[in-house]
Formats: sequence, C-alpha cells, structure tokens
Amino acid sequence: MAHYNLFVPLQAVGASLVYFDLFNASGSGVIVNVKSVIPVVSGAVGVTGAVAVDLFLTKTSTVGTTGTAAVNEGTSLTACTFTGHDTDSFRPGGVTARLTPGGGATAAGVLSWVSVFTEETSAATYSKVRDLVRQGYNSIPPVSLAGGQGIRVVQGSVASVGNIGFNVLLDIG
Amino acid sequence: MAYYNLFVPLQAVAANVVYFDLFNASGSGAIVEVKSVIPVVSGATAVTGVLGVDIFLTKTTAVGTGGTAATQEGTGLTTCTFSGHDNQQPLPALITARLTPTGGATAGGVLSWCSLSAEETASTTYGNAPDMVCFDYDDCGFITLSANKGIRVVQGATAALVGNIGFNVMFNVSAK
Repeated sequence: MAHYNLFVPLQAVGASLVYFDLFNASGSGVIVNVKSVIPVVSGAVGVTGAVAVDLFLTKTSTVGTTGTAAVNEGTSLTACTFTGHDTDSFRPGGVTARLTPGGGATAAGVLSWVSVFTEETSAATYSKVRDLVRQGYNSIPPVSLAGGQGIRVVQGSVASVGNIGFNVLLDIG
Repeated sequence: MAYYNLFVPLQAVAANVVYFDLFNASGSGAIVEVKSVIPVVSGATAVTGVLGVDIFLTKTTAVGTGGTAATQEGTGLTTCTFSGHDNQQPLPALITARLTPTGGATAGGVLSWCSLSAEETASTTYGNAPDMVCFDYDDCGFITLSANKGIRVVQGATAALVGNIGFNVMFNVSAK
C-alpha cells in the first residue's frame, strides 16, 4: 500500500465553488482510501468580510472536468499535486484530481461539513480545523473509493471572502 | 532503529525563506523516516502584524547549502541540532540538516501546508499548529527519505509582517 498527500493550494472562496475533486476511475484496479481532508485557511492575504465559509465534503459519482489537473510530485506552491510519502511509489493513472473543476464531479452523498472564518485579523481564522473525514479519530475507517467513485469539497451557496486550501491524506492499494 | 529529534530554533519569518532542510545523502547507508514536522510559533517576543504566515512542507532533491549546519547533541537553544532519543546511537554523518539554507535544498513535491498566526497577543498563536506529516494520525504513512532525498519547510511568497517560527522534527533512521 502506498501513501500520498494531495496538496490543494489556496483558492479564493466563492458561492457553490467546488474547490477540488479526487476520483478513482473504473478500471484503475485499485482502491483509494481517503484518510483525511483538512481545510487550511490562509491568513497571508488581507481580506474584508463578516460572514464565514461553510464547506461540505461529499462523495462524487463522476470524474471532474476542466479546472486544473493535479500533477505528480509537483514543486509549485500554487498548484495541485499528488506527492508520495514513499518517494519510490507512483500514483496509478486512473486516480486523478482537479483544482476547481468546472464540470463533472457530480454530487453524491454528503459526508460532513465545517464552517471556517477567513478574516486574517481574527483569531478564529487560525483555529485548528477538524479533519472532514475522521474528525480526528484514528478508530474511524477512511472513506474508501472503489472504481467510479470520488470525493469533492464544495462551498455552500453563501458567498464570502478569503482563501482556502486543503491537505488530503490517502493511500492506494 | 534509532529515533532522533531535529531541534529547529525560532527564526524570523520572511517571504520565501527556507526555515530548514533535512537531507539523506547518497552513501549514508540508511533510510530516514520522518514521523512529524510540527511548527512552533514563539510568542516570547512582541511583534506587530496582522497577516498570517503560510508555510509549506516539501520534499527536496538536493542537499541544502549555506545557512548553519545542525550539530549533534548541541546545547544551544538558538541553534539547530540533532539529539538522539537513544543517546548511544550516533546519527550517520551523511544525514544532515541546516538552519536557513541559502542554496541547494532544491524543491521536490509539495506535501502539505498550514497558515499560522504569529502575533503574541492572539490566542491562536499558541497550540494550533498541526503536524505537517500525518496531522496527528498514526496510520497515514510517514515520509520515507531514501538516499539523496530530503525535506524542507519554506514560507510562501507573501511576507508576513513579523513573527518567529521554529520546528520540532521527529524521525528515525534504519539501515538500508
């Protein structure tokens, strides 16, 4: 079994925005176990806003389209990349992700949600945000993605301001 | 298998600064498994600023140069040092680290990131930094550094106004 991070850089928040999707295509021949999806609110850029951002982790039933595909072992701090914990293992081609997919990533079951504050002068912005998959409990199993299944994080219908990214831990076996 | 801490003392924040690198050079004869990289924001010095600090854990493909090399079992509270959990097992010489390397430490794949408050009067400056390797889980696979591989923590392009950040790095070393 090989372990990976999916690095999802910050993106400007937006109503109903799909921040990223991760998909295990039919025929990949592998199971993807998503162990954590942790939002990160960046306070490095000043913003002005009074309302928080509601984020939802949902399953998906189709692969995302458009947006920007994640690369392997990317070095950019502003692009989405899969990076292996064991540097000698490589991601199967049927396992893909996209930053801000513009289509596809069809919504399936809603798993969890969180509300985060994004104003850089507020202490609340830097509070530890719970993992959307296991909420910090080692005893809870990961979200398993068989062929033809995926996940995404989508913002609620209320617009706000700010910049949010994610740390996604997964294994593939 | 021997366990070590890499103590990384506080450094002033700055845009694009590489806080430290840890590298396992070819010929070390060892595998390094990085268990955790935990930022520590120091509130012991008063600063003024409102912007957060975005920092990124990445792999590296070359050893760092310049900066200040980590010592072994150093006693300074302001210098970088390897200290063994089991003091009877010295760290192989080709496993090295540097505080604020100015060259080398070539960027590899980006692993994770976080955003930190560095203002000493803000409650969230304290105790909110995540472990950037496994985010407190123990079943997510640690970062394996075979020969000629390393890690670093680098700040993003946005300069926070002020602040001081160090790290606690835990890893083990085993024979290849």
